[in-house]
Amino acid sequence: MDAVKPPDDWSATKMSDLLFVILTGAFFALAALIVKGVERL
Amino acid sequence: MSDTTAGLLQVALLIAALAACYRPLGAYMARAYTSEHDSGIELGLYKVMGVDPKADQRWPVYARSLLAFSAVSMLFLYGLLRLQAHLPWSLGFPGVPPALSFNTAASFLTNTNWQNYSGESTMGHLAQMAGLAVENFTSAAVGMAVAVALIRGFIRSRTDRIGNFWVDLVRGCLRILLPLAVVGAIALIAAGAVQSFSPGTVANTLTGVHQTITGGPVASQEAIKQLGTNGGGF
Repeated sequence: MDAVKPPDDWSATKMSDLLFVILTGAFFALAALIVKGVERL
Repeated sequence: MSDTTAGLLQVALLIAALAACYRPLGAYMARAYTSEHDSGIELGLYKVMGVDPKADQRWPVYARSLLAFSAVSMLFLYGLLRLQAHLPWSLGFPGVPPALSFNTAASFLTNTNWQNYSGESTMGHLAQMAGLAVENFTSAAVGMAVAVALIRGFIRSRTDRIGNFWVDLVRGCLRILLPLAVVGAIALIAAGAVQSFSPGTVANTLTGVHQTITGGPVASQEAIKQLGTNGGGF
């Protein structure tokens, strides 16, 4: 079975600097919330 | 020698090397993480970071410190790759596209280091040295810090403190990874690996084809790359 291949032309993806900031911010905010949630248990 | 024999020999040599070094290296690493003494360079770094090295953290504080460091590392590497055209030592390379920068930053941050680019034709010396090589050190040191914190969680009793993330990070880099990487880089250079600030050399072959021979800080990148089980770079 073929492995999933990444796009060769990255400029063709819809990623942008703004989306990067939003996704990264959301990821780390979620991680911090999970830490806080587990701490309360 | 057949490929199978060579493969088996490599596995046997790896096991022999692990057997030979795990006691002395393990003891050295344990001393590095448990020592009460901080060197002058470490104290200087703690002062710059505003960290009290004697203050142990509870696990949520340790975890948040790790997350904060990772978030800043991610933004820094992404920014460095995106802006490399405007920074020195870019060798004329354009900024790395957003998606590839995201992919590279995320994979180097998590020590998975998926390389979906040709390093020597995508990134200049600054991105290689201040971006990828730094992440090769810090992502490995973060992984080691988590392992050390987990061990402390098991062995400590009557306390809710599992160490100080910043101390573990600095010590992992300065006391363990950096000395080993320096030795490894010198060994690679002695064996003929490239270590220069050259952008590359164009060679004209006998058949009239132009071939670019890669230059750059390859040996120093490869040393920490192999040591930290990373990929990427050159």
